[in-house]
Amino acid sequence: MIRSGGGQRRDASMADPSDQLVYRLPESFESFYEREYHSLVSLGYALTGSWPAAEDLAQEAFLAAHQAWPRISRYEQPGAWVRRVAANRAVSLRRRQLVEARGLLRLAGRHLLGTDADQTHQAEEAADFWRAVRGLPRRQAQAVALFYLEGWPTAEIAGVLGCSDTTVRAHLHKGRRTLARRLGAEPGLGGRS
Amino acid sequence: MNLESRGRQVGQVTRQLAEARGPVPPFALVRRRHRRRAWRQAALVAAAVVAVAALVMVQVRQQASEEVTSRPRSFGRVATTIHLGGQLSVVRADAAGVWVQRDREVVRVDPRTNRVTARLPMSPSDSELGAVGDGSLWLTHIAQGTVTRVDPATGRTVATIGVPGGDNAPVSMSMAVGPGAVWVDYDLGGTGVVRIDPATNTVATAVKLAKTPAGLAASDRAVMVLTRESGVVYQIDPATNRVVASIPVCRESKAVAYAAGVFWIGCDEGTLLRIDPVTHRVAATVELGPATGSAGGVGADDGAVWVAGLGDVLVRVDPRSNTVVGSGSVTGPAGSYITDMTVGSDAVWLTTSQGTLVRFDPDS
Repeated sequence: MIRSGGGQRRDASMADPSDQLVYRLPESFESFYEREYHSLVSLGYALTGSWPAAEDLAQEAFLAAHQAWPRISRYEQPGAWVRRVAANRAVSLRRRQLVEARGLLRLAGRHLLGTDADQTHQAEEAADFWRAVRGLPRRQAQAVALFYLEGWPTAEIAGVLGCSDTTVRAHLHKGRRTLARRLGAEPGLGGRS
Repeated sequence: MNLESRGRQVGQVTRQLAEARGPVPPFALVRRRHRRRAWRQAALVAAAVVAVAALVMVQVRQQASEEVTSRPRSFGRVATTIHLGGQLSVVRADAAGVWVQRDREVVRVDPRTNRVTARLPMSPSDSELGAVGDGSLWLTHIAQGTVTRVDPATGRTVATIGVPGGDNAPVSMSMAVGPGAVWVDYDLGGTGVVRIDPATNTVATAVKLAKTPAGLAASDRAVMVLTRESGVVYQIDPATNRVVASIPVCRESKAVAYAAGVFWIGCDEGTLLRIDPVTHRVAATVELGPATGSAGGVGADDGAVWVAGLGDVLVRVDPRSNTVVGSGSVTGPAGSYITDMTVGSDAVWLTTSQGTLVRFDPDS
């Protein structure tokens, strides 16, 4: 007799790589992937500080999404699911690769900045900003990253983080207050909720 | 510039920088690259496992060759293909029949007639069929972190049980039914396993794990918990509800099943591990062959171990000799793939991406 578990993962893990098969679904995985890829990389960068790590993170999240596509394509917001996976994995990735990520950040910065002074300045500003975000407690950092990257209302961020709208507002309030202090900026705590 | 303006501007710049890194890479390329990396990492672990297992295998094979009296003549055959339609994502079997999750309902197939005899809508509708056992269907609901017990005769919800911390919406949940216990693992970014008492429909105990769980199987004497990409499985003693062993296995274990005193673990690199719960060791490593790919599903009974590989390949392993008896494509039309499998009623049952339930009868 089988005493077997892991069905929710297992059906996904057996998914065939044939891309044509997913076109039967309400939204094909391919179009979902194309649409969301750069947003996931941006989120990964915000939470890890490394572009290569961000791309890795995004790709791993999409691999998980592809495996679970028969299930998550039925969700109202598959995008929220894949962001939650990326946000959760970013935490452990950052713990594991903190030292490496710092090195990669420097390399990636050089690659990205090129010679354009304005681009250089903007990229440095962004790097400084996200560094400060990553200094926040984990849930605050995730909420703030989603808030500024996606421009979403707090209810949608709550869907990604798997908590209540009120909790997200609290995370954002505390996070932005700390950020303003650390970055020497006026709080300007407007909301989009 | 205030924080609000700066944050929005940084958000836009970050998105532009992400796009400037290049176009979206083809997904097929992404998958190949990650698979190659996983292979490389797994190869190191596998080499060590194989070296240790080699000595054990020699002993096991010698013993098995003495015990084998009649080896299966061949692989088996597809007995029937039942078209159910919709998306079939989970299949389970018990004495009452074969249960298949089709979209947002569970259908029961009578193994004597191969016909659908019941349809039960799932509540909540976005639940998953986790397990069958103790005369019930057990559904998981990831977003709420709950387990729902359903009476299969009426479709009525008998109980809804929350896992500790489940309101943080776990990334995955898996279930296994053992004697007098329903075991649920869940991933909240590194959590553990809970034991539900089916007599009271309450969480009896929670077992904290150091690694993130990723599937489990249960017997009367042991519960084996897979972990995500960490190269170990945990063995829990159901008598004490404590972890009694952390067993080194392949880097990414994908599925686990129990039969005849042995746990079988399918690995991403295309191997099947035989785990002895008494010695807490890998007793044998079965190479499944290059056509199998990742061993994504495992089912077993006293006579055979079945592995569903990536795509449409089913592999039969003889548990007495720990060798592959045969393998082949079982899903029908080219391009279709296996979405789940289980063993019961003297058959292997496989759901496919084409909306069919395949009944595979083994040769004895």
